[in-house]
Amino acid sequence: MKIQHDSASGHVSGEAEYIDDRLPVAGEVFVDVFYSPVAHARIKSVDLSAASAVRGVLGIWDASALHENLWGSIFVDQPYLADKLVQYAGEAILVIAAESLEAIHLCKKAIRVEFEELKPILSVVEAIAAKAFIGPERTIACGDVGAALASAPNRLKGVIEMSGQDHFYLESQACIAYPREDGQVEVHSSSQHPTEVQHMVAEALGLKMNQVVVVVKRMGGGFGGKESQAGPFAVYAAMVALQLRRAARCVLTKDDDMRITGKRNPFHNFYEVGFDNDGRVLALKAELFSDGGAYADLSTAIMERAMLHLDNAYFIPNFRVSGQVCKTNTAPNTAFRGFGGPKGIVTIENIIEQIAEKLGRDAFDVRQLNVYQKGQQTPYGQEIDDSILPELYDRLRRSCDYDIRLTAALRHNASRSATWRGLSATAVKFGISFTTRHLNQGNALVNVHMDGTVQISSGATEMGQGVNTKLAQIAAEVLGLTMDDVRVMPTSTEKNHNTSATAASSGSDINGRAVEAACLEIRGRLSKVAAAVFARPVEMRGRKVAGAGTAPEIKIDNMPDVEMKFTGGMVASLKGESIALRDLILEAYLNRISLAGYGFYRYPGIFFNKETGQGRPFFYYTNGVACSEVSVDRLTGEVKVLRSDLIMDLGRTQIAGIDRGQVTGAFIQGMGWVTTEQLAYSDKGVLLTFSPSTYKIPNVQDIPREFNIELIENPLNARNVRGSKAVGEPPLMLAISVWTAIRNALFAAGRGPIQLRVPATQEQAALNLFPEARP
Amino acid sequence: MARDFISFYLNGKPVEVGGESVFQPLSSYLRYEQLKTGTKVVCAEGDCGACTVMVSRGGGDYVGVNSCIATVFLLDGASIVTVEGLRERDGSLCEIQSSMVRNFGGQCGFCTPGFVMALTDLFERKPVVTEKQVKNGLTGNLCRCTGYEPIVKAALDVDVRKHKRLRERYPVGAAASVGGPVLIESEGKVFFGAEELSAACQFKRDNPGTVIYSGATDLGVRFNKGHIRPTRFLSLNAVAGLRDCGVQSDEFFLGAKTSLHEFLVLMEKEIPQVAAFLNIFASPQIKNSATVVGNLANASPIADTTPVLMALDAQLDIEGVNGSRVVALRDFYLGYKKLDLAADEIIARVRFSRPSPSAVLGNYKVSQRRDLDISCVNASFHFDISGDVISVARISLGGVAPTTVRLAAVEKALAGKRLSRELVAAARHAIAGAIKPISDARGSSGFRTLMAQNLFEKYCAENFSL
Repeated sequence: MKIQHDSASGHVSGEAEYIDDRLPVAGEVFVDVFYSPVAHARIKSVDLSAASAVRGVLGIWDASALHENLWGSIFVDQPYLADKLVQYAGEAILVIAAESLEAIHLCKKAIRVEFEELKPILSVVEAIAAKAFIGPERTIACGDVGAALASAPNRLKGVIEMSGQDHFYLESQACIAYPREDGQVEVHSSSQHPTEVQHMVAEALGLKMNQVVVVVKRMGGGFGGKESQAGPFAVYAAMVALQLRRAARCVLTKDDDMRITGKRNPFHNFYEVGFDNDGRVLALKAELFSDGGAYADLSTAIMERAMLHLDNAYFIPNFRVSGQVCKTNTAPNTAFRGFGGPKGIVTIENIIEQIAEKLGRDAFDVRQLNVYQKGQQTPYGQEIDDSILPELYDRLRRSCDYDIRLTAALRHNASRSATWRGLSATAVKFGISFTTRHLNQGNALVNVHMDGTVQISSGATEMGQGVNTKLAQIAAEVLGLTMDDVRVMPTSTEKNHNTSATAASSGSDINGRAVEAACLEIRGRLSKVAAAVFARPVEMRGRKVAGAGTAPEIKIDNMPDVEMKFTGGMVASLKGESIALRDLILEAYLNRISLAGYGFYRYPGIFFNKETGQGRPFFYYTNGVACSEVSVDRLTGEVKVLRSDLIMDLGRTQIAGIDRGQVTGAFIQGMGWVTTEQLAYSDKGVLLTFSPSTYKIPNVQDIPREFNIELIENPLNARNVRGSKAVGEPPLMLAISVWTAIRNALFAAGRGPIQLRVPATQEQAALNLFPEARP
Repeated sequence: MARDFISFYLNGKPVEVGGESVFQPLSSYLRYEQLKTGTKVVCAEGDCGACTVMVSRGGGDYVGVNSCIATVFLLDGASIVTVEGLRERDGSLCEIQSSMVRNFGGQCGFCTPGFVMALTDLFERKPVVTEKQVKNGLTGNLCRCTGYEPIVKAALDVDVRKHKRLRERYPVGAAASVGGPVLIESEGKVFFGAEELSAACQFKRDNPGTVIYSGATDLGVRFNKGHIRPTRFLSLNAVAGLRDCGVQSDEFFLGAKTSLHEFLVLMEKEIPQVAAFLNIFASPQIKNSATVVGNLANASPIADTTPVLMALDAQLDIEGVNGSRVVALRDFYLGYKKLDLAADEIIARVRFSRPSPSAVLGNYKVSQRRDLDISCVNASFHFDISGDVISVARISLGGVAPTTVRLAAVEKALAGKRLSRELVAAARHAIAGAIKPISDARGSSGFRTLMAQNLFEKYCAENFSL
């Protein structure tokens, strides 16, 4: 049977259930938050007299309703409800419960809060000046940067600025909390991290973790935005559920979601690079500053990954990077597909473009000159042991006809055409693992039912990436079943405990191995049962005698391991005896042999000392390369992506349709970050682009006119589950080739020094073509 | 005696709705009253297409509309099909759904029902589709997971022999209106569905603050975002004759209920330069609902049909209780969202003459994203050329002032001049002097001025090789 996404039928028929599709139960209430309209202020007074009187309003609560008001995934610094001080526009101050959404609308309009406005910090530059920082500065270094820079034949200095990016998951933050007996609460959340939601709800409400069950059936998209930031909404809903003893539904509108929740961190990266006359990078010194927003959230870990990806695919013998998260009065920024990776990678890829421009060389040549060779070491001390990047670049150069197209682009730019052409290739070498060691663990529960069907539960959450399908496939393969007989159950903290977020592209790796371990445990037991069954006459099988108790029970405790083949629903011994798996499972049940498996997995052999910046933080790397060609209108700056060619090494691809979808999806999402997704704020720090009418994610017309994707088999990656490689995040960073191609087109226009931010919007492009119109 | 309810068909079953329920968005009614939760709501502003449902009116074809911004009272007499109505009779997935499954067209699945409906709309109109048609048909839907590629593939992989059009499955004839005017009152709100334009004018005069709901593609958004809470609602859906559009002795007329889609179809036949421009703004769903007159009456300074019609010297036929009058579109806007329209008056139609054979039309827009994005600047240029002399010049710009404007001084300076590079340079200068745009989320003041100048230069380069 052809494999499909396990929810595909539900998706296309509208029957797949999301949080807000759950039928309301009797007495259920709506929950919403009242948030700050200003970026930085003291709360002088709150007047709820008119708001409380609105018909249908059941309660309005402030921070005092919570047992513990502070939370944080790394540093505990963020209030669930601002009390006395607000630090960003969109910060929640009050929780409202009402019988209807219209009552909530009227209630919010009737709330009177008086603010004493304070001067906000609204950019990285302002934060650096004010020394407003979050966490310590970290460093990664190798070689002697000072000496190498001093002696380098060529040097250049620069800064690259990048804006944030809204996740724009289609399903906004959503949860429903149901009060249960003995002070327990059951929360259904659209979250990538049920354990953290459970932890936050318990802590905020003064409950024990065993009083809180968090269930995640599926998300309508996550992309990192529901890794930490789903938690507060679950706290609000659970608080109301316990206060009112009624089910409580908190589903944000897209506008409010965009105003309240954090985004991809903006970065402001300073660099100085030394290189020889061929373009070989000799030394790189960089200072990375990120905009963490008002609270720490995951920003320090994101910065760490940015620093760990500043080298990207290139060997840099003398290297020093420092990273510092800044505190500003904007929404607390958070994980977003790629984490810090894109911010480090776009920096070095931009540097390579600049080196090529300065030397008058082709940037593809410069990249191939610098690409990591097997055995070289990264600045943080990890040896490149399975790099196939040089081969990928060679292959791309051939497969996309780079040299022919380069000549054509140069000819085009010399003509009187209405557009400029740009052509550029970039790479990604993305480290797989959480850089925080203890997060690299997972567990799975596999239940085999007596009819021969299987239910799997793990800590992995399904957000569209197809992890459930991959887990089902692993179980089906190990047990020799068809996918029809395997079902992946909603993720729940009562089945899988202390799980990590489904993040860092590791969901299928870690949970896949745990599922595999659980299934192997069951298969081991079933193999022994099979051996015992084969040794008995058919009439003595449990199916015939268990009820009567006339035959001795099969005991496997002291049996040695035996090897059986599990395929196509049959179990066979090496001698050729066989039994249907269904029958064997029933035999096991009737002989009181456990049909459940519990699997546990951790990535082996990884360590990273955050203070020295040295170690082996990554289990392996997922690698890829891409070449993009763009046209830029000479008068309007309008950008069109004409063609993108991608080559990715995904080890042994498990389910091609799913992996391919991750590649196309991540690439286009990355393209949005580097082209049209411009967040705009008022001069007082209030977000102006809070809906798709002003915030432009890519549309179907924006995808490359020609889009070639090649997934190559790399049998060398035996260390990961089924020889596969993580795919969720890495292709996003290949979209950086679109940005460098735009830079390349603007360079061709020859209108002076290029000042290009991320995203390279049409306005950015036009102002590089007409620098005289710059403000 | 007016009816106090509306009626429509939902997935083939007749439904009557009255009272408070008719004042909500169709998507809310479907999700919370009919428990048809396959229809998703994401943006609540008609920008993402997740809420797309198919609607047939007056026996016409089923077309996709955004249910989040369609108010229930507008559905009187319609036939609606939601994603729940797509499965075949035997319960199996329909061919469009199957193709989406085969091609991994859904990932998180939240946008998927909307895409399935948008594809249904596409195949309802065209039996076989090309990649270009697929992309044009999907501009009204956003997906954040797939990168669209698998969805485009799914569309191209639909086996048309297995596909059945909706109008064969859910007869549209059955959905004819029960007729007569409709008057529904609830909690201080009044909806009047007029059958006669005179009755509509009277209602508007007698009920200050009346809002005419046509496609509601902007009003629905403003309601959803809490910006407006009108209490008097008027629909002209059932007024005879207002849907008419066409051309008579070289004069085009578009009745107040002419949709952007109908305008597009007319222009494809008559003035391809205008059709090409209509193609790059507004999604299929919006085009199916929004009306040309609504776009003009909404008075946004960045409305996309306004510069086009202003450069065509369009006129408005305005009806009131005491008779009718004609106003030139260029004189219709008195200030930001201020119209030359009395309390009892309603725009009945817009008219414009066929451009002369020597006219050269150029319509442009600049926006952050190429398709389906609100303009930062839009422009319409219209020169009549004899030899290489400009006999008439018309320049209309949006996004550079509180209303769409005609640059009368620049036009005057250009009229009678010979086309030349020097003239283009001088006009660039004059354009910059004639406008004073603001800076906002869609673009800075300097960028807008640059674009107004460059679009003019682009028009000259494209049409006169200057």
